[in-house]
Amino acid sequence: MNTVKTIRRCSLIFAFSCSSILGCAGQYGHILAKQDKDMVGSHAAGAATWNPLVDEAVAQLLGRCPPAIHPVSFQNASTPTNASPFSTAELNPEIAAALANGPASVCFIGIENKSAEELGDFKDQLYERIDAQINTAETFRAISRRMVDAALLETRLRPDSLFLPVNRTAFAAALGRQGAPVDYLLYATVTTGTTDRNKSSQRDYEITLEMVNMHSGEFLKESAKIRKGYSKNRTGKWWNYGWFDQADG
Amino acid sequence: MATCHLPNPGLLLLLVVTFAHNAGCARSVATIDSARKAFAMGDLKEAADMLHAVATESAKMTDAAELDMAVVELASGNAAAAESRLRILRDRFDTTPGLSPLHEAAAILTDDTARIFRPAGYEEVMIRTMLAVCSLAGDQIDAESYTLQAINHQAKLAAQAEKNFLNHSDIYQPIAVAPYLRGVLREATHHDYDDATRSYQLVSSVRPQFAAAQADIARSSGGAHSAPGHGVLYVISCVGRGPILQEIVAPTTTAALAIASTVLNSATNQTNDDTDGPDRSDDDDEPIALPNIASVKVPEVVIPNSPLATVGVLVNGAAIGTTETLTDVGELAILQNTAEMPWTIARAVIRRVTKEAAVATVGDSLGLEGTAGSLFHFAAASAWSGTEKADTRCWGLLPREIQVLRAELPAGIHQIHLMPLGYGGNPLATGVVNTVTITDGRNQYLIVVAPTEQMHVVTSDQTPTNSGTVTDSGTVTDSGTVTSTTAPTLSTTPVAFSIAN
Repeated sequence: MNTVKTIRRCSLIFAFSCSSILGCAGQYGHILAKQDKDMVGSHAAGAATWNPLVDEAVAQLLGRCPPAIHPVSFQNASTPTNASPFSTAELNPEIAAALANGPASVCFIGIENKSAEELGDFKDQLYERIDAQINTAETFRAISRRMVDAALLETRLRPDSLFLPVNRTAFAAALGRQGAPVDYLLYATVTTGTTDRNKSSQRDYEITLEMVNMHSGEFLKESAKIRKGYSKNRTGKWWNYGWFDQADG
Repeated sequence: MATCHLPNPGLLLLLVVTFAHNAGCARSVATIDSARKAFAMGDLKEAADMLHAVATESAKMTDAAELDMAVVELASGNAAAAESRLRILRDRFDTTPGLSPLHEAAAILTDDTARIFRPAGYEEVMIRTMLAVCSLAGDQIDAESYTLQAINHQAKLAAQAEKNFLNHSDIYQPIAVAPYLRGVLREATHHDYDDATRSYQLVSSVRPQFAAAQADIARSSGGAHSAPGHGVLYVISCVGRGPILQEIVAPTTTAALAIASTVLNSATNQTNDDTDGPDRSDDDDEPIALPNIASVKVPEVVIPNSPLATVGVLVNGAAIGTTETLTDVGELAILQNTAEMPWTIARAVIRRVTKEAAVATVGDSLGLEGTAGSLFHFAAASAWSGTEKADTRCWGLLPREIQVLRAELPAGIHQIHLMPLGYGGNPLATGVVNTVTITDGRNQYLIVVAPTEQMHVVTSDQTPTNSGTVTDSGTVTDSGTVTSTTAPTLSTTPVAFSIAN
């Protein structure tokens, strides 16, 4: 065997082994500044999708809700003054009087995930985000999640069964016994719609907020949507939606 | 006059270091085996002492010994310590580079035990799953996070396996226990039934044999966590002795030789490209001819015998069922080992080629030719290769199977009798009795560690009634209550359990 060649081959095996494994490192973290963008998930929705979706949906819902209730509005409760399904004027005098005492109490039941993706740890964060934003509105006061959980536990009612009036009444009674009378039930539903095209796909994320008036049964619905494209490589964005505009076929 | 050639000092040093290294390794492996046997015999203190000694003596064995130590701590009732240890190990494995150049180079000179220990894919998921189990046996604060981490890690492994040119379904085996625990925890919130349904559906797809999943799916998609005035008891049992690795001599397969040949030729071609020039000789184009290597030492999965098939559960004297297999850890280990075997053998072949080439180079440099050269080559290469050992480091105290049983019970205090059952449904020992307080609408967990009929039961129930039920051989720790099966005070109750095969 040629000695030089052998040595070279030996060293090459080492070099190959070593060179193929360089670049491995540990893990680092850093704090994002306020102006830093949210990261866009490569395989699933992520912060850049969910955060604006929630903000938009809640803002739309609050924008459509009736303004803050003033006691003077109930001086003549028998006279309809507002055509909104959330109008308090149609309520009986006792309820109207209760609402007149302050902001309406909203019971946020939870988020139902009907999408193609697992929400994972986002679910509870979205809940808190929606809950906090509802609470910041002067017209509403959110009921503590712990009280909601306790009422669900006491009644053993499923969140999706609260649409039935009889269940709603039982649930409201349980909350009332805990000292938290409820005026509105709020539901959030996350859905997705996926379109596949060869190696690319588009997924539309939609969050729907549904607010049910406990006293009248009327409901209000608002939703927000974000569309997102997924590709196997970076050029997919420009190929489908950019200069080449191939998304429409 | 005969010329006396002194051996190359570097080669001598290398051989001495190799022998010393292997001697130490052999001692540690024997000790960790002894520790595992002590654990199986129910001697937790002896097992803990041995594992501590192994972790202290051999840096290579530290991580594997610490993984085992966490199971011993959990079985001892110290769930908080087990959780803390597993958390540290998880972070360590996550931040350890996939491959370390220094250790890989050392592994080529010695054997695979010189590589940094990295748990197998299923072991990485099991670390997170066992973290969840430890949390359920302790304060339960982080249990849901751990289950989520386990599921996410599974997804990551699946994505990595998809990128590999190995068969995706061979290398990646999802583990049902992680989504199951997530489903259990989400259902217990009483408002995240949709999450629970998804998790149970995943469990059902991963392990269709798990019959209870159908009831779980039906309940979470249309029912309630439990009837009013009732709570739920979950018995999570780690049953049997888990898979370990043992060294065997395996023949070199065609697939392994092909991988080794590809790697070596790739390296050679890279160099030829770098050194192309007018004086390049024709023989540079010759592919490397692999020496005739018939067999190499590789690790093989062995599942130690254990007569324990399942755990029977009696509530207040009435049999309510047996735990059902949710995850077969032994099967996962065998599948993973089989999938990785071509690469393991290929590494051994590459190592052998390197050693043969190095010995030939030294022989040439010493001027050894003809018969003397051949003898030297044969002796040195055989001695060097003979010191090789297969990498048998693994998490040996994982159970063979993880089994669960769900029982909806009226709120209040209940006597829970857990009994080890054999494959014929026959009781193997008298079992353990625990007093458990079921709370309305809540879950209660009993963690059973049963490598053999010697069972250890851990519960997070800190009520005074429970603390009085510790059997005479059990110990009470700060973080939980543990009982063991050696209680002679328990009367053997005739029970009729059936084992579903």
